[in-house]
Amino acid sequence: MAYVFEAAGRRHDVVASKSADGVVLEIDGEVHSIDLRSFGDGEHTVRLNSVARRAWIAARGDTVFVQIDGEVWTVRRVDASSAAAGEGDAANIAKAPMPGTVVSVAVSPDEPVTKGQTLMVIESMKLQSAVAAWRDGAVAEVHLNEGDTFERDAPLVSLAPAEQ
Amino acid sequence: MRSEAFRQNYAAMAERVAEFRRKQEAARYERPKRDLDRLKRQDKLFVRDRIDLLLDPGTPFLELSSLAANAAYDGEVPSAGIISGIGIVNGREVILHADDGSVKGGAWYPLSVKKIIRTLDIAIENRLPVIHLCDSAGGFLPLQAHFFADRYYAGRIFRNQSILSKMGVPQVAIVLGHCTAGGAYVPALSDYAVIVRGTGAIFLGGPPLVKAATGEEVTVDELGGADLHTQVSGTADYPADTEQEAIALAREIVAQTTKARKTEIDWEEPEAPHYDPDELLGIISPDVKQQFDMREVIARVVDGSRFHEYQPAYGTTLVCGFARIWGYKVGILANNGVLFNDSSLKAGHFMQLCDRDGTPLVFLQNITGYMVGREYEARGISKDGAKMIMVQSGVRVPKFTVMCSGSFGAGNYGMAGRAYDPRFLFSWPQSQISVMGAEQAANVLAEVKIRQLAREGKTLTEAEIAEIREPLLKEYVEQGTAYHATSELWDDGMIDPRDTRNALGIAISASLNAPFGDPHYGVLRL
Amino acid sequence: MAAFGKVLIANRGEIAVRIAQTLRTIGIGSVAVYHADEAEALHVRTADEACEIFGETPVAAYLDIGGILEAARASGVGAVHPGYGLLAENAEFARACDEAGLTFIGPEPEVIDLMGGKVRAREFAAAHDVPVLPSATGQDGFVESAAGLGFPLVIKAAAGGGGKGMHIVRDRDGLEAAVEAAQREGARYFGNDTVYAERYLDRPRHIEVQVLGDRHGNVVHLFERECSIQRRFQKLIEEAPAPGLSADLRVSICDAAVRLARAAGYSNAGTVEFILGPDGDFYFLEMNTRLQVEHPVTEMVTGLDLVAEQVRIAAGEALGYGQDDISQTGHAIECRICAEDADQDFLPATGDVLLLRPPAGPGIRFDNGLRRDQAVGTAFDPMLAKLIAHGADRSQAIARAHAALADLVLLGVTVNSGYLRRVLAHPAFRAGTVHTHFLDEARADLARPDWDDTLAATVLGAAALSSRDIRAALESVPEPHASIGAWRN
Repeated sequence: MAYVFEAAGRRHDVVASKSADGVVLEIDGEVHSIDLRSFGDGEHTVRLNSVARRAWIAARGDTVFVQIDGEVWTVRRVDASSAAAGEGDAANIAKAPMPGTVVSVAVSPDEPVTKGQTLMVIESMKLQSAVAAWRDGAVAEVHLNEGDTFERDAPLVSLAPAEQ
Repeated sequence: MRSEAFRQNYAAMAERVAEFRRKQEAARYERPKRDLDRLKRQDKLFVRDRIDLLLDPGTPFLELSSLAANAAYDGEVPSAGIISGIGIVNGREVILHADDGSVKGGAWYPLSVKKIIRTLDIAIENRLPVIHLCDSAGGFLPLQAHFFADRYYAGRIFRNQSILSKMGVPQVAIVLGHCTAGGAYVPALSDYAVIVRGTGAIFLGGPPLVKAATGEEVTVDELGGADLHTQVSGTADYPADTEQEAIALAREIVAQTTKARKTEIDWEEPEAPHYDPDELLGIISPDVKQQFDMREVIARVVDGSRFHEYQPAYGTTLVCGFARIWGYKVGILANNGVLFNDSSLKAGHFMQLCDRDGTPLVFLQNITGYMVGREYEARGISKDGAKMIMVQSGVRVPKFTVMCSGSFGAGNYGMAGRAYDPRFLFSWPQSQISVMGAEQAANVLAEVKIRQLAREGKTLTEAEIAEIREPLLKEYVEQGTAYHATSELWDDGMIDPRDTRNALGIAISASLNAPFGDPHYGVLRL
Repeated sequence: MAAFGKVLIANRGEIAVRIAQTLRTIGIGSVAVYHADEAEALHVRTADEACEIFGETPVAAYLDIGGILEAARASGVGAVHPGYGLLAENAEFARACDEAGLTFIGPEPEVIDLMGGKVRAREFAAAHDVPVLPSATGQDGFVESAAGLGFPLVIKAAAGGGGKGMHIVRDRDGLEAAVEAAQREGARYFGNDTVYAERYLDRPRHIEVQVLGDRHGNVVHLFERECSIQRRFQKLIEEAPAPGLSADLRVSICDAAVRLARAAGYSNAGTVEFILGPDGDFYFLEMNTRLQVEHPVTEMVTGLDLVAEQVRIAAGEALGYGQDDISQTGHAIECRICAEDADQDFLPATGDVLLLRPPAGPGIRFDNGLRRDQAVGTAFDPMLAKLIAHGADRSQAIARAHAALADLVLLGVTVNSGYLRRVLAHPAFRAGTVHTHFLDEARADLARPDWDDTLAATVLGAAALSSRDIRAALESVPEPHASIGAWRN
């Protein structure tokens, strides 16, 4: 089975298979023997090759939280088929990092913008932050109006696709 | 064991296996650059990459008939343009039929049609779900007389699909390219059809044909694209934006299908053979005239190299006995010489035992035929051979045949040759198959010619006789090779002898998807 | 001291839980208030009784003075404890309590008013010999007078707090923009666009002093707290005592705090905040007229229960002890567990508490209002809990906190526990040489552990194998295929 995971801001291809000796994971092409034991209530030991470590694991939907040595790593399962397709969009759309409200909109469609220019100011959890142009280009669409509320990953502002 | 003969055999066989691997590699991957360029231009994946995406990683794939058509069409239609094989998709055993768009645009040649039909026959016999990866320009018209109209020609593909559906065996079609003309029925007759937006299309007649027929000008997408078929016509069920997405969808669909219960047979935890299967190369000889002990072969195929021989002292030219392959208990029949009356009777008795107990049968062929001569005819060799054929044809348990060396004459029949519907039949690269041995046949044919000339009053010199005999021998030898056999789909593929155990394991597992039924036979001439 | 039969806790989360716990130990009934969204919250379950309050948003409900007084009336309480935040420093609320015949557990409304206006508070402090930073106020010519203070300086919203509406200006060019921003934020968050400018100290420490005053004119301090570990001008780690403070300096700061409280006629618990320059010069920042988030570190080293003291004082009791009766034992550190991604600029995080295992052990206290499956949204402050560790000395307190942070399991929403551990492990922190810009300056050192192949494989392996469907997919591969593995013929 092949899966795509996102963790620590990176994308990893994971292939899981069973062999006579247990589970083998191929992560980004590297093969590891792995074993996970559950002791109930989220407590686990995870053994990689020959080293076992204590881990706490909880999952909701496609997100798995793994705590090892006091650090929590958030691992997101990415739909393998959409993983490739999604990348094209990302370069053109600013998406909301979390739910919030639009404080102000600084640009309008077709307006040329330069990298770093403020496109929109949003407020999430009482903190205002500016959505800045991530490259030079022209505004394709402003997806929200001042005062609108939005959910995580909602499109905020799109730039016209960069010319090749 | 490491005798001089072993070393010589090993070196020679290693060369034969390497030759097989070279041909297989070429059939799998060597394509004219323009065909690969076209795939890239069309934004389509190579068929082998599609299959890799479809199968569960880390699981085996038993490819069938990889060298189909290797000796036909000037070698220009590798694997007959079709990949077929048994693999695991989301934990389910399935059989694949994949058109190879990099071979003549996926056009169907007569042997392509034969291969697809065989694939679907396997699906029917073993109740294996089918995944069709469709990408075909349609039938190769210049050869239509050889694939269109007969009973086992292209119509059989769609007939088989309908039968599968009637039997409740799921079929999923992934439309990754064009499905033109008859090809349009492949997705239409599947239970589930996924189609890729942009590259996938289904139509009875493509745009040029439509233009010629009605003058209507229409694009591929308008005529048979993903949106048309998933939103308007209902010919396909799921649109996908990319091949990857389409294949992922197909995987999900397979997971949704009801898992059929398999037939339970005697099974134990598998164990690797005690003797290294690699030693097979030193045991068998490239020369079919060199006899070898089949027990040495069996020891390198079965679990723990454990073989319980049945009637070890009776009819000794046929070795019969029980063993396990990947844990499955099987009855093995293997030739250690020509078939006599006693070995034929032993075969019949042993097969009936296995049939009663639900033990699948494995035939390891190295057979020159049934014994001839007055003494044997008088003892009823034909009658005893008939008993063997009658029982073998009638058994309910699945049969598996491996062409280990020679397969000549009625021996091919008695030992479950192709005509006897073994569920799977594999050939080793150096094996030979024909009605009689090549030299014997060439001599017979030359003799006929010489006598005919003699009647005309001509006497021939040795050189002239050789001139007649040599081309006959050459053609006969060529048609008796395993390459010719596999090219014509007389088998389900050539295999490295060392892969026999895995191939049989997967084949046996596949066969258990179909019920065995109850034992019953025709009338035995006692 | 059953001065009040029951006390209403006009707050939520960990502080409401914490107050309810003390009320129980001193034999006073507790009444929680809750918005419908939090009907199952821990504070509701910890209090003896609970009253629903209403509002368009949960926060609005907790800020609705009328609604809370109605709950107080309905539940028949004698007093209201405001906790911190929300209405805790709202003089109008204190007055309304008075008028409703309820005791407001906190200082007099006039004192809240006095300290609530930053400008006024500074003037008051300056007038009472408590050093303040040079500053500029007023509307006319404000920019010019601000520029006259010299740079760097900081522009603040007069009604602001918690870092909101604060802008540092390093040269003349950025001044106007900063003033405008501070005004805008002041108007937006505090309904008041008055701003002021102040000299800005580079690398200062934040030192604050806990004071207690009763209604009989007695004022004591409970020593200082060091709160220099801050991000976005908000405290993250606090400790008591402040490391490396000379005895003289400690005395002068604490005395200044007491002087100010006494001058203001302060009763109840309060905190006087100072900034301490590298040269040992300290300046009044503000006074918080309420219980402070980080009060537990003071409790751990003094052995006092500040909430119990608050109730006693509000009931009119005299402190009953003098400054000399108060001493400190050991060292305490508090780590604020916040729903935020410390590695992404402390971006607030949302989620559900899927797994919760509080840390335990000698000297460990975990103040929280969490329960499993609780949703952590954007409605409230991202602080979810406080982990407090007490030790015989600073290094033991740090070691205990460091271990307890790893022991804490709070999965389902991104929290900063790993980051806090990295701060505690940092040599500069261990040496006690920190200042309010430390987290910024040490940013590189405080990054997450390298996501190397081994770690990635361990984490991804754990994630993959704990996923039901992946497990099922692995188990679903039949024999002999599973044993044959990735074989091709």
